[in-house]
Amino acid sequence: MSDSHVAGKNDPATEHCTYCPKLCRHACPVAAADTREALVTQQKMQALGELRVGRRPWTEDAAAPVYGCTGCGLCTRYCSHEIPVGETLLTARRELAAHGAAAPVTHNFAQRFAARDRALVSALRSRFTATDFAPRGAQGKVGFLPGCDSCASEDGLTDVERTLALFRALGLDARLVDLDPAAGPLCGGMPLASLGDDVALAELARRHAASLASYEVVVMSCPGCVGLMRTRFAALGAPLSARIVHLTEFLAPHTERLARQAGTGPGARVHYHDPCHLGRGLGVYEAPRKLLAAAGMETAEFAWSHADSQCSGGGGLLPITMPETSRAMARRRLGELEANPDNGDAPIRVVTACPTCKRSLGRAASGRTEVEDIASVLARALGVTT
Amino acid sequence: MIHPSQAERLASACAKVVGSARVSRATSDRHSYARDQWPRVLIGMRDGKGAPFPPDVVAWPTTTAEVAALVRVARELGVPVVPYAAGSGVCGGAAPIYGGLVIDTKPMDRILALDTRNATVRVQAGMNGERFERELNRRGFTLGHFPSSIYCSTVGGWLAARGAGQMSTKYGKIEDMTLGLEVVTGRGDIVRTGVDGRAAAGPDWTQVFIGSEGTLGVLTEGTLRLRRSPELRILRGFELPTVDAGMQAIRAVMQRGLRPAVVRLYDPFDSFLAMRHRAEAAAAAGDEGAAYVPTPPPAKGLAGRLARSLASARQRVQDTLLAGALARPRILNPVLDSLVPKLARKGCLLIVGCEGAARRTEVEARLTFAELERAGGRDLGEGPGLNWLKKRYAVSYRQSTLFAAGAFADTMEVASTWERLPDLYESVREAIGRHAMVMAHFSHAYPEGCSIYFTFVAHAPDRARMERVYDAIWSDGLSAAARAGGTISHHHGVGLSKGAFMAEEHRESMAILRSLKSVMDPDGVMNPGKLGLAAPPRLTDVARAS
Amino acid sequence: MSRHPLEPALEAAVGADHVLFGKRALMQIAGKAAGDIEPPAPTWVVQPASAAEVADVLRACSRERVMVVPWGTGSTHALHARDERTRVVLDMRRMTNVLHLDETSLVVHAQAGLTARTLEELLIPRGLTLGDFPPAALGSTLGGLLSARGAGRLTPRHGFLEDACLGVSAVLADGRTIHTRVAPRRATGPDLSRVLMGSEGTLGIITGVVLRIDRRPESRLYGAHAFPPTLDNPVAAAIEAVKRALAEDARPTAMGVYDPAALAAHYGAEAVPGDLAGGCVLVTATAGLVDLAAADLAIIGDAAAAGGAQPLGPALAETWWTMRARAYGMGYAAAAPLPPGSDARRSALEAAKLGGPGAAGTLAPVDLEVYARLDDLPRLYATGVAHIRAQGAEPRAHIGRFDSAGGILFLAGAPALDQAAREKLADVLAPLGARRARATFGDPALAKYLHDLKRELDPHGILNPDRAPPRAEAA
Ligand SMILES: Cc1cc2nc3c(=O)[nH]c(=O)nc-3n(C[C@H](O)[C@H](O)[C@H](O)COP(=O)(O)OP(=O)(O)OC[C@H]3O[C@@H](n4cnc5c(N)ncnc54)[C@H](O)[C@@H]3O)c2cc1C
Ligand code: SF4
Ligand code: SF4
Repeated sequence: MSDSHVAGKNDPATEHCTYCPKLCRHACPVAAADTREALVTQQKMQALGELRVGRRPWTEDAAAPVYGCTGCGLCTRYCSHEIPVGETLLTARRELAAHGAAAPVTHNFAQRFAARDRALVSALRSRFTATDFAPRGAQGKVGFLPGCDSCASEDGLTDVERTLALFRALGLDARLVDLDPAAGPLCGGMPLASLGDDVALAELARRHAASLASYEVVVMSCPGCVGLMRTRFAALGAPLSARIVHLTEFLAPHTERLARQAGTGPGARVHYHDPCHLGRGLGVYEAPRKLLAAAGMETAEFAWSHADSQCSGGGGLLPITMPETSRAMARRRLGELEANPDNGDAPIRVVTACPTCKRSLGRAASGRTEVEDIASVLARALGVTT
Repeated sequence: MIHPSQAERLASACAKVVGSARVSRATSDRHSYARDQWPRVLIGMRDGKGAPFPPDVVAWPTTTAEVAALVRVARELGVPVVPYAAGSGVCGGAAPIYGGLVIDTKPMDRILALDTRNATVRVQAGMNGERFERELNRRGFTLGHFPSSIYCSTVGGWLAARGAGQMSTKYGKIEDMTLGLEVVTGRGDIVRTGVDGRAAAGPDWTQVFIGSEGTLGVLTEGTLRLRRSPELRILRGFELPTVDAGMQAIRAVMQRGLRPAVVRLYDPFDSFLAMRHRAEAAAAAGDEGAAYVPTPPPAKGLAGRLARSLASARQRVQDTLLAGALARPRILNPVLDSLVPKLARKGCLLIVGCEGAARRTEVEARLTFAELERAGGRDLGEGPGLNWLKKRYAVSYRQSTLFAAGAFADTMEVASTWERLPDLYESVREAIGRHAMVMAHFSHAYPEGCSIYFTFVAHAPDRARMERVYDAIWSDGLSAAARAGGTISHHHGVGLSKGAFMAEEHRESMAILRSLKSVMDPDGVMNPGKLGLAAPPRLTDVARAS
Repeated sequence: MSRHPLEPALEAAVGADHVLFGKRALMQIAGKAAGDIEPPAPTWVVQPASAAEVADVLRACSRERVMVVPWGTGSTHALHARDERTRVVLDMRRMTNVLHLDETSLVVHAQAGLTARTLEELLIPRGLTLGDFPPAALGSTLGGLLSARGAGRLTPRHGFLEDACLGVSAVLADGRTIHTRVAPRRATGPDLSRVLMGSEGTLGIITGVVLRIDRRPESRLYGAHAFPPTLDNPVAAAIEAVKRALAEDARPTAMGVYDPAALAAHYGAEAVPGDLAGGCVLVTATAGLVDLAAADLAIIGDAAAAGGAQPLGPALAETWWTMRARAYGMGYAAAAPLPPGSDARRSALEAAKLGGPGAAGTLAPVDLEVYARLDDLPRLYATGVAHIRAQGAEPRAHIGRFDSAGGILFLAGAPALDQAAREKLADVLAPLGARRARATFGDPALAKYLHDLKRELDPHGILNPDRAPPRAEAA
C-alpha cells in the first residue's frame, strides 16, 4: 500500500487529518498519557503526510511521532471519515526505515524478532511435555498457539499451563500446536506488522501456513495475531487452511458447561479490560464477560470499555520505541480504577484476554492491583490447579 | 523567536523546574505547537506553511507550583509565555507569535475533588472536555457544557476563551458555571478566586480571569457547578416561516421563563443543509458504522471512498454549484436566498430540546412547544431533534474535506439583545456575503438576546488571494457587527484575529483591560500580542521572522 | 475663610445650586435619623445630574487631590469621615433618568442614582418588573446596589442582581468616561463591568447601569411545610429538602426556613402552627407560567415530604410573602401576578391599594446575617441559636435567599444583641463556615493586585478611600 505514496503526492487519509481540528484527540490513549502535542493523532498523521511530500526532512526527530501509536483503532471510531490511522502509521514505519529515519531501537528488528521467536519456542517446548502438544500428523485437530508474550515469562507460561488444564476440564481436545523445535514459528507476526515489515511478515506467513497445515482450527490467545492471520496472510501470499480463532471465541460455545461445572462461586468482582484487537479488532465484547459471569464472577467496567476501551500501552511496539509512554498508558489505565471511589481501598482484580495487555498492565500494577489472564481465572474457578 | 542563546538559557532554567524530560527544544515538538485552529493558518498549509509560529521551548509541568516557577523563569528572562491547551481555539489565541515558552497545560488533567453532595467539582485546567464529561456522567452528573469541540478542547481552554456549549441556553456559558479558579498570575503568584464566594468584597476576580486568554496568567484549576445527569431529554423540530418569525418565537419562549437546553434556528440556507443531512442520515440509517479492522483494510473500500469523497468535494469547489457560490458570492447569495427556501420547500428549521429532572422537564417541554406553535411554528416531530443530537459534532469533520479540496471555511459568532438582532443578522450577513457564501444559525438564547453563528465558505485561485478574501470577510463582518451594536464574539474569543477590533468592542473600557494587564503581568510576558492588548504584529512580518 | 480652589470648579461642573458645604449639607442628605455628623475637614455635597457632570467633578477633585465618596441612599456610615482629608460627597440621587427601556429585549438602561423602588414603580404598570422577588434593599440606588457584590435579590428564579447587570457606565478618577457595552454574553476578554461592580466606588463611580428585567409573572403559588420537632434535626431536614428541590431543577421565586420564634416575631404568634417548638417551617413561593409554577411547588413539596415534613397549606406562606413584601415596600410585587390578558396598569393600581410602595409594614429586626454553604447551615443554625441562648437572650433564626451553593442565615435575640455580642457571635460562627458580607477581599494573595489596580486606575487615591483594600492586606 505504501508503494502508492509517491513523494510529492499526499494520500487522502493524511490529507484529511492534516486539516482536521484534532477531533479524535480525546480518544488516543497515547496522547492522553503523554501530552506532547506531536503525539496527537492529527499531528502524527500530519507528520507522515509532510514527510511523504517532502515538507519534512526524513530525520529521526521529524519522523519520531509516527512511532507514537499502538494501532489501537480508537481514533477511527471517532472519525467520521473512518481514517484507519493505526494501520496507516504502523505500515508507514517501513517507509521511515527505507529513508533512514527509523528509530534506532527498531534497526534489525526482524532478525531480533526471529531470534526471540526461536528462544520462546524452545522455552515452550521445554516447559511442556509431549502429551501437551497435538499429535503429529493427525488431521482435523485443534491446536493452541499461545501468544509470544505468554511464553516470555514464567508467569505467562503458567497461564498457558492453566489454559491447557481448562481445556481438559471442559473436555475440549485442544493441545499446543506441535511447533518445530528449531523454527517454530510461534508468533503470528504482530510485531513485524507494527513496523510495516511486509517482507519479513510474508516470510513468517509462509512458515505458519506450512506449520499449521494439518490443523482445522488454531486457537490463539493473542487477538492481534488472530486478526492479522485471518485477514492479512492470504494477501501476503500464504493463505491458511486452518480457521484461526481467539481463545474466548473458542470457549464461548461452552459457556453453559463452564457455568454448570463452576457451580455458584463466591462471586468475586473483577474488572474486564477489553483488548483493542479483540474488541474493536474482532468485535468480541460479550463472550469474555459471559465466560467470567459463568464462572461466578461479577464483572465491573472501566470508564472506557467495550468499543471505547483504552489501550494498555502494549501495542504497536510502543514498549520498545517509547517505553516511558507505554508505561504511563498502563499506569493511567489502572490508575482510573485505583482512583474510583467505588473501589474504596479494596484490592482490584483486572482480567484481560490478551497476553500483551496482561504483560503491559501487569508491569504497571501496584501492590493493590492484580492483572490476570482470563483462561487462568476460569481454570481456577473450575478448581483446576496446576 | 527569541535569540538561540536565550532559548538555551530558557530551556535549562525550565529543566531545573520540571526535569529535562519535560522540556523540549526539538523541532518536531516546536512545530507541533506552532499553530492552533485559526483557519487563516490552515489556508497556508496547502503551501507547506504548516508551522508559522513555533515556540522556542516547550514545557510540560505537572503541578501548579511548577507552572508558577516556569512563569517566574520566563519573567526573569523576559521571554513570552503562551499557555497552550488543546489548541482548538479558532482565533490564533494559542499561537506563540513571538516564540518563547509554551506551557502545555494538558499534563494537569485530573479531577481533584468531586463533591457529590453539593454538585461541584474541582478540576485541573488541562482536562480534556469529553473525558471530563464522561467521568462526570459515570458519577451521575453533567457539566452541561458541550462545545462542538468537546473532543478536542480542555476545561482551561473553555475558561480562558469564555466558551459556550450547545446547551448553554439551559446550563449557561462556562462563566455561568464557574465558582472559582486557581490562577498563576503573570507575576508568578498562585492566587485563588471565588474564596468566600459572593460574600467577598472587591471585584469578581473569577470573571476577570475567565476570558483572559492567557494574557493575565495561567489558569490551573477551576471549581465548577454541576447538574445531575438529565433523567429526561425531549427533542423536537419545528418549522418557522421566516428567520424573523423564528427569532420572535425563541424570544417568546425565553421571556416566558422557559429554559430549553437547546434552541437552534437555522436560516434558510443552513436549514437547507440541515435537512439535507437529515435525508442523508435517513438514507444511511441501519448502517451502524463499520467495525475497526486492525489489519489491511478495506484498502480499496475505505481509501477509495475517501479519495472519491475528496475528489468530488474538489470537483464541487472547482467547477459546480460551489464554484458559482464561491467566486461570485455577491450574486449568488441573493440567488440562494430566493432559491433555497423553494428548493427545500421549507422555511426555517428550529431544533429545540428540554432536559433535566423528569417532572419539570415534561412540563417545560410541553409549555415550550406550545409557545413555539403559538408563534407560528409547525411541529415536525422528534425526528429532526434526534438527528441533530446524533450528529451534533459531525459538522466539524467537514472542515477537512473542504480545506483539502481547496476552499476555506470559518465561522463568526456574534450576539446582541433582541432589539438589535435582526439588524445584526442582516448587516453581518450582507458584509460577509460580499466575499463568501454564508449561512447562519441562531443558538445560545437568553431572555434578553441571542447569538448568531455565521458559517462561510470561500475560494480563490491562490493563497495570497485566499488570504485577502479571508481578511476582508473578517474586517467587514466584525465592523458590521460592531456598527449594529453587537459583540464581535460570543464564545470563540479574540486571540490574534480579532485583536484589532477590541477597541471598537470596548472603546474607553479598554483602559480597564489595560490596567488589569499591567497589574497582573507587569512585564508583558503573558501571551503577548493577543486580546488587542498590544498592536498585533503584521502577520506577514511575523511569518517572515519565523 | 477664603474660598477653597475646588469650589468654583465644582460649581462650574454641576451648578452652584448643587454644591452644598459642610455639616449642614451632610445632615440635610442624611436625614434626621442619622444623628450628628461632624465633618473633621472641609466637605462638600455635590449633586451631579449626568455622567458628564460626574466627570467634571472628578477631574476637579483629581486636580486638587480631594477625596470623593459616592453616596446613594445607602447607610449614613459612609458620611462619617474616617480621616481629616478634604472630601466631596457625590450625592447620586439626581441621576434618576431611565435612559432607555427596551421592552423587546427586556433591558433597561438607567442612571445609577435611580432607586430600585422608583424603577419598579415605572416598570410595574407596563407589566414589567425587576424580578418577582426584588431586592430587600429596594430603596437603595441601583449604583449603590451594584457597586457592592452579593447585594440585591438572590433567588433561584432570578439569581443575583449582579448577574442581571449587562453593563455599567462609570467615570474613572481622572474623569474618563466608560461604557461597558451591552450584549447578553460575550467572549472578548475579562468581564470589565464586573471589575467596577464589586469595587464600591474605589475604582470608578458607576453612573449608569443596564439591567435585565422581567415580565410580571402570570401566577404565583405558595406552599408551607412543617418539619416537626420529632425529626432528628428539623433544620437539617429542611435544608436537605431545599437542596433536593434545587437539584430537581425547581426554580422557586423564594424559599425560607423559619424556626417558630422567628415565625412568631415576624408574622405574629398566630402564624406558628401548633406543636412546632424545636421544629421549623419551610415556606415557598413559586411564580411564572401556571403549570411551571405548579410543578416547582410540587417538586418542593415532595422534597419536603421526603424529609419528613407535613404540608401546612398555602396560607402561612402567603402571609410570609405579603408581609415581607409590604415591609420592604414591595406591595406591587407582593400582590400582583399578571395573568395573561389582564391589564397591567389596572392591576398595578389595584395592587397599589393593597399596599404599594411606601405602605410599609414591619418585620422583626435581625442582629446578624451570614452567608454559608448549604451543608454548613444546619450546624451554624444550631450553634448560633445555642450561643444566643447562652448569652441569656431568646434566640430566633431563619434562613433564606437560597441558591444551589448556599443561603443566608439570619439570627437575632430577644432582647436584641448589642454590637459586642454580635461580633462575638460572628466570631463563633466564622470557623464553621459563616461569611459576613464584604468582610474580606477573598484570597489575601489577591489583595496586592487589587491595591495595584486601584493605583493604576486612581493614581492619587481619591476614590472612596474608606472602602479601598486595607494596606495591611495589601502588604
Ligand atoms: C471544530 C471546532 C468547534 C468549536 N466549537 C466551539 C463551541 O461550540 N463553543 C466554543 O466555545 N468554542 C468552540 N470552538 C473553539 C475552541 O474549541 C474553544 O475556544 C476552546 O475553549 C479552546 O480550548 P482549548 O483547550 O483548545 O484551548 P487553546 O486553543 O489551547 O487555547 C485557547 C486560548 O486560551 C489560552 N489558554 C488555554 N488554556 C489556558 C489556561 N489553562 N490558562 C490560561 N490560558 C489558557 C490560550 O493561550 C489561548 O489563548 C470550536 C473549535 C473547533 C476547532
Ligand atoms: S483520524 Fe479523523 S478525527 Fe482523527 S485527526 Fe484524522 S481526520 Fe481528524
Ligand atoms: S490508533 Fe490508537 S494509538 Fe494510534 S493514533 Fe489512533 S488512537 Fe492513538
